[in-house]
Amino acid sequence: MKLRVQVNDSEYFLDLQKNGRGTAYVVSGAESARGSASVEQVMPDVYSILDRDHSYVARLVRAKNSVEVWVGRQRFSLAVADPRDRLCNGKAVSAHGPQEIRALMPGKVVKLLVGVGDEVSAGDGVIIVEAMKMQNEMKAPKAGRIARVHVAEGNTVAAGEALLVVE
Amino acid sequence: MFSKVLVANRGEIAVRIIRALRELNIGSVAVFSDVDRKALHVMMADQAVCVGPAASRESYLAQDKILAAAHQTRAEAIHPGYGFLSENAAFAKACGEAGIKFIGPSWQSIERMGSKTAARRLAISVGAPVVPGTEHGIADIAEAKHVAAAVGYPVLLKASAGGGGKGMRRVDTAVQLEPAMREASGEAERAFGSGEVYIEKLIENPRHIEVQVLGDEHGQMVHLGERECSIQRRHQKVIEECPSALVLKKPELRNAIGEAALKIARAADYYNAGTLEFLSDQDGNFYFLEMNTRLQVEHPVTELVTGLDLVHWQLRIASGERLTLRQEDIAWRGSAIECRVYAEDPENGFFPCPGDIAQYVEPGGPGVRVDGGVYAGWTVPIDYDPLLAKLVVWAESRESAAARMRRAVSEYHVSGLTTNLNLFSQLMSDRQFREGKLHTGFLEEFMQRRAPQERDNSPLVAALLAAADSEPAKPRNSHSAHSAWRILGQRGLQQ
Repeated sequence: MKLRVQVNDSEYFLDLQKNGRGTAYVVSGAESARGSASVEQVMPDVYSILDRDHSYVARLVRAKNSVEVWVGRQRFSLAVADPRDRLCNGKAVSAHGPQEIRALMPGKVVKLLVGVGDEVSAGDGVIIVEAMKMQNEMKAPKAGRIARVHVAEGNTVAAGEALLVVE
Repeated sequence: MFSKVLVANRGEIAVRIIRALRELNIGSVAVFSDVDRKALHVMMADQAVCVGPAASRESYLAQDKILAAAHQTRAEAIHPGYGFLSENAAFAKACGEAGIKFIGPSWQSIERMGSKTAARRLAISVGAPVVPGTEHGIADIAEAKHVAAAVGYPVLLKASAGGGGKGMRRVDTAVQLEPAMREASGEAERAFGSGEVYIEKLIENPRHIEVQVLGDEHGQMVHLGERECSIQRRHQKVIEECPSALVLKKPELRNAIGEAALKIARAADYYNAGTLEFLSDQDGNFYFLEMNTRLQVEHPVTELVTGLDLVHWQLRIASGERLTLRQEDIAWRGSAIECRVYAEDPENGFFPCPGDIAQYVEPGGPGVRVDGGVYAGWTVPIDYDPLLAKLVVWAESRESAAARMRRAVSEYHVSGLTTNLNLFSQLMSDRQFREGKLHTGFLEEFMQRRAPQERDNSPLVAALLAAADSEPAKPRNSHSAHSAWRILGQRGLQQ
């Protein structure tokens, strides 16, 4: 699993490989680290982590647009993003009713792949948004028809802004 | 003893009193305002009565509503805690007239000690030291010179009509006196419409030291030693300890200040628990400031060091029992430190930060006491003081108490809102704090001189791994969300 994440004001890339003994990780970006850790959830939102043999307790607090992680008296604010391993991921979705597709991060609409009235299958790419210098193709969360398109190519969008509606 | 007591307060102190009531097998009645319906004290009490909306004057300060709640629940006595109605002589009197025992001193004692100037005169009348100076306005420069020479330089010129530093001047030598008086008087005239100023001896780098007294209604009274509360922000205490680090250096100070406190309290016909506040210079010369005619926020440090339960004693004394303690029975063992855990941001001028508490884990282990008033899931209301809890530790020495406090702070987890906990771990490691070199300006200086906070990034990997592993809290549909980051995205989609 490859993830990109904004921690406080720095950007990190995290490559995780689960194996029999734990999780092998490679961190790059603002700082680099690699190693192997055992990650155990001990309660909802509370994790025991043994990074090699260093013991940490990490506690998660979910806010609207970020996840706060406390490790001891240190507080890390993690902002979204896993640009390649995207939400809908092609696998999903059995949701009923109209589904809005919203921007995950502030960015710019590079390309609209569909128009109003188009039929789409779950996992079809519908829009490409550029954020943090990466182009992200967003996929239809379910099969259906594009009911509305709220944005045009070239528009700047805020995190959480509605882009399209599939019904 | 009473069979039921109403607690006319909220937050940690209401919880503290309810705990004592339960220990003494006394029924407890909580009162609460609309925003406190889910507060911890309401859940802990046997009975609870809503006394009005969030605004204190319509609920926790509404004497008629509190008395009505006491009648309705057949409570025989009211414990006022601290703040709110605790030092309101009219309320104490109204309780008596309504046939309800007010757990505290007589209304006459509250009234007598309620005025700072009256309390000062009382202290002078029994020969207790007060900050030397005049109590009346200075007529002219000749009188000013005479008074300043008598009390000794440096002196402070203060506006009779005001406060907040307006019309206040420090004067170090006689030659500075005349221009300083002109300036102070002019400033006071503009600010308060009266140019009258008076002179007080300036206590350099003063320490705030107070004395706990406990007396019964039959004339027996003891002092339980001192507490030092020099670590303050905006004139509000943040850390308190017993013994005072100054008393550790000058053991004779405890009895001297304790005897002075007893003289004043006796002159006020005082009974129940009370605290006399003093300023002390670094040499241990102390001066009476004022009396708090109630239980103090910081009473636990005295409890830990003397082994006495002040709230138990308050209840026993109010029910007419005699104090079985004599002064020679009071012993002080070890050292206790209290930190007031506030929802506030020390990095941002100690700005209050009420809000939702996401997770809440109190520390434990040897010598640790938490008097808390909150829990995970509670929303700290914006309407009241943002005190979440008091973290109190006891250890054999002041040095071990500071180390224990640092350990306890590291176990204390409050998230969802900002607290001042990090500041306490910095302070406990500070050399000047450890050496007991305290004064009331200590915290302000510390905020300026402390080393810049270096972010320790070593737990970063742990933070990343936890977030990557996290499951969605409550998946609202079958989207395959695995990580906290994806939850965020998903929330975005569903909004």
